[in-house]
Amino acid sequence: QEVTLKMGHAAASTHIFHTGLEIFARKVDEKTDGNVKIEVYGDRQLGDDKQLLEGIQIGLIDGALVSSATLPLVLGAASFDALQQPFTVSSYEQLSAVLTSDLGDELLATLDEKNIKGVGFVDAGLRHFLSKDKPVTSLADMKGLKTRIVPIPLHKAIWETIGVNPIGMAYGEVYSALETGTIDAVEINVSSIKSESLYNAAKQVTLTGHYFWPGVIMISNAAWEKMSDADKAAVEAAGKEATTEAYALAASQDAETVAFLEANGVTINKLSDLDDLKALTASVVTTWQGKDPMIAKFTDAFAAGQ
Amino acid sequence: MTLYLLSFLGFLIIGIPVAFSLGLSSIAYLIVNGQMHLMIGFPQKMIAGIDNFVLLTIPFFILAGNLMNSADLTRQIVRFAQMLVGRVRGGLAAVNVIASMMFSGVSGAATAEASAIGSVMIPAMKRDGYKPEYAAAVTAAGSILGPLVPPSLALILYGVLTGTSIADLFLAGIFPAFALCAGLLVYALIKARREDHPLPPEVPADERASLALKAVPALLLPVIIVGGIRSGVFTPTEAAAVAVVYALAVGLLLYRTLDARKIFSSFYEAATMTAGVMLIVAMASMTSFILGIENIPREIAAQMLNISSTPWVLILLLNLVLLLLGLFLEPLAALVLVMPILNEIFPLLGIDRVQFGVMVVLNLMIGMITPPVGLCLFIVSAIGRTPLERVAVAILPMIGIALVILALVAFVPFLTLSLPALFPG
Amino acid sequence: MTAFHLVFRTGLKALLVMLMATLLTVMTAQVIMRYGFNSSLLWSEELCRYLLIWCSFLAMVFAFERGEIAALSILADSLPRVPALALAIVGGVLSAAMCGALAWYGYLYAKLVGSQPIPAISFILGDIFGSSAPAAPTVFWVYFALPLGMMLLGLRIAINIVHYLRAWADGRTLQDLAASHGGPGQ
Ligand code: NA
Ligand code: NA
Repeated sequence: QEVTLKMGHAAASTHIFHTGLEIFARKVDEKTDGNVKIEVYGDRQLGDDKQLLEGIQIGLIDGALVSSATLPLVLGAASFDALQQPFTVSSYEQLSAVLTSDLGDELLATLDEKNIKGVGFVDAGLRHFLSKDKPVTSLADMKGLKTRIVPIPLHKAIWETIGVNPIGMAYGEVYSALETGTIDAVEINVSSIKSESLYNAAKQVTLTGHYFWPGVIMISNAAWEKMSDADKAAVEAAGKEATTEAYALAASQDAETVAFLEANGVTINKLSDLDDLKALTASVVTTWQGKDPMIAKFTDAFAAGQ
Repeated sequence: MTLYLLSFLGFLIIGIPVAFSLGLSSIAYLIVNGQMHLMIGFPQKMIAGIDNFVLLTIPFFILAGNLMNSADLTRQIVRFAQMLVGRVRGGLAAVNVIASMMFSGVSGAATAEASAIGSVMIPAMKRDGYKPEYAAAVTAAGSILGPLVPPSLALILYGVLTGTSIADLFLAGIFPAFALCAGLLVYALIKARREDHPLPPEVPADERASLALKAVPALLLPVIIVGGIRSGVFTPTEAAAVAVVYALAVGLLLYRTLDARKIFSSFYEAATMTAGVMLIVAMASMTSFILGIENIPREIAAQMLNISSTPWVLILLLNLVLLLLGLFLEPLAALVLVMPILNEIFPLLGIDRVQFGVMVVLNLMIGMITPPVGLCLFIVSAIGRTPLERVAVAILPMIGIALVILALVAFVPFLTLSLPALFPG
Repeated sequence: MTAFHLVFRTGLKALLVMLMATLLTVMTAQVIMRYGFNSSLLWSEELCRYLLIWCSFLAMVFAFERGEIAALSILADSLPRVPALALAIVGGVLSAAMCGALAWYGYLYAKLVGSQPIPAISFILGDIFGSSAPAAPTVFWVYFALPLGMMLLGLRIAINIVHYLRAWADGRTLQDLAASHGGPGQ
């Protein structure tokens, strides 16, 4: 039978989260012969990440694409910290391959007990370091900078280890806080620096590439159970293909975006002692490997592929 | 949707509070459309509506205003305004307007302004023989200066919802505020000549220096706030907390008029006033959700584009929609409701985000002084113990003045954009 | 007013003042820590939002009493005594029923989505106790403010309905009632 699912995300409709969901929608349409239709709602029309997750749980919305970073805190899905262990993944291709393997399925299956069906991933992009006007080229330059981070335990541990001064601040205030110097820096992906026009407020990007920013494509159990078994299998296959395609897209966008930023007066820096940074944060990875067996499985898989 | 609107108006007319009317209409909508399974989303939308860091400015700006008022700052400002105005016919009305302008640097919300200035000025004007409805109307009209001058809750909310620099918005509101203030002054003085309003008492010469000195703290706060934000000491949201600390310091150390009891009741009253605003914001969030389900924002935007795609016509239409909403809704709730429509249309307007923000905020503030639902009107008619209908008639010419200023803001970029250009970030 | 009533009201007022004072302290501390000491309270923004939720919902009952929840009184003012009272009763019953429904659904909602520990409190406990920190209360307790606030508000409106009924019985008008109780439309 035919079903239409409304799926939301919290990014702008120009963001790769939107494109990624649209890729997923197109593939679902093809593979289910039009039985399952997906409507994509961007610009927080269905709510921010937290509201989207709650909306799926209470059956208010059918599905969403939500940053994996919010899952451990909001859903208690601790295994998703596996995807943001610093410097464990070598490339978009590698992450995409692992996410579409059996291990990726195993991770998505941890959502089953939350009454959520996870079907795929879209990545917002590798995270780097944006600072206001001081070029950051060494670990010493980073020390003590007031840096906005997402206030979750994993990121807190990483950035305290690195030695910045982590600031918790609502995303909406970041632009103005960078502009006025309330904060010195923010850890972020280049596509957001472009889409949020942050390059008008801060001019120095250091390509640290500390972790990726995967989003998880989820469907509520209520909506999932409306589908026939054949359609379920087709949607899962669509999710895998969409993951591969969205990761390839993310990988190809980064270089263009960096060129755009340079053309708009941003200086692109490299960290001279990046290896020291990697060594420094390895302790965080060890701690987190001990917290959840799934995290160790992922870091092993990443290490094996390098 | 027609059902929603009609039931809302029905509930409103039989005297059910605005906030409850919004909520009841939402429930009626869900029942009639057989969508009661979405009812579990109602509390979620209510909490999500309040769970917003920018809204933290509401209790603090209200509290700062309450504290300044308890610390007797309002009376000091009024006396200082009296000194400036001097012995002019209709002087007290002019004093009211000027005091409102000065108090706007302390308060972030028009309601706080209406109750603070109103509690001092309306009884004083009545004693001097002014008609109560006129005293109340001048106060209400002056109160909308509050959100145009920093600090301003509505401008902060707009800035965050649209990603516009809040410091720029703060600077942009200042000239329009002066223009509105001038307009109201001229009106008060002309009316005074025509209706032979009384002369105010003279301020003794030996008091002048101390009066000027005591008014300084009020005049200084906007400078501290804009300066503090521009230099990165605090965020616009945190500025509200800074304003409270400042008010406490002025009241405890400078005026020495605050005591534990006054502070306690200021905090308590700020909490209840905040709750009143939050209830309506929470209910409007559910309304907004239902509008979204019905795709209303996109439809309204499409309808407007059907009528015309000329920017100035669109701006005019947009102002009409906003004024219409403002008749019934509290500005913050209205802002939550219209933001999706604004986002659809904004790129076609060819207007600066900062200018646009001041326009939207002034527009919604006019809604605070129009019947049937205008919180500032309610406040001043309660203080003046005079019927709402009479105040609503007395304020009409002043609404006209505000509309003229609104048109200037909408179509003369210089008025809003020159100050931000002068002090770039 | 009974002794219980008085203690309850005073306690609730004191709680509201405390919530406001905590909000102010946390936000001011954040400015001082960040600007003065180049340090930061990572959890402050989240904690402040939750305090605001509690403060708002708990204060709604007093906001209603103080007439800060705006309503039109034009129709009620122009009607004769009995129809005006009848209208007030209808409005009161509808409002109270809505508050009751929201309290119920709010409780369900809090139960459904509130199972995780409150992140901000976990951070604070972690900062204090390190790895041996006790578990933080769950998000249920953040959202519980809504059913609690709505229930208090609904009860307060129900008390008003009782007053309307009494006034109907003993010949007083809505205006008499407003003057003696400071009820809605005061
Ligand atoms: Na102001
Ligand atoms: Na109005």
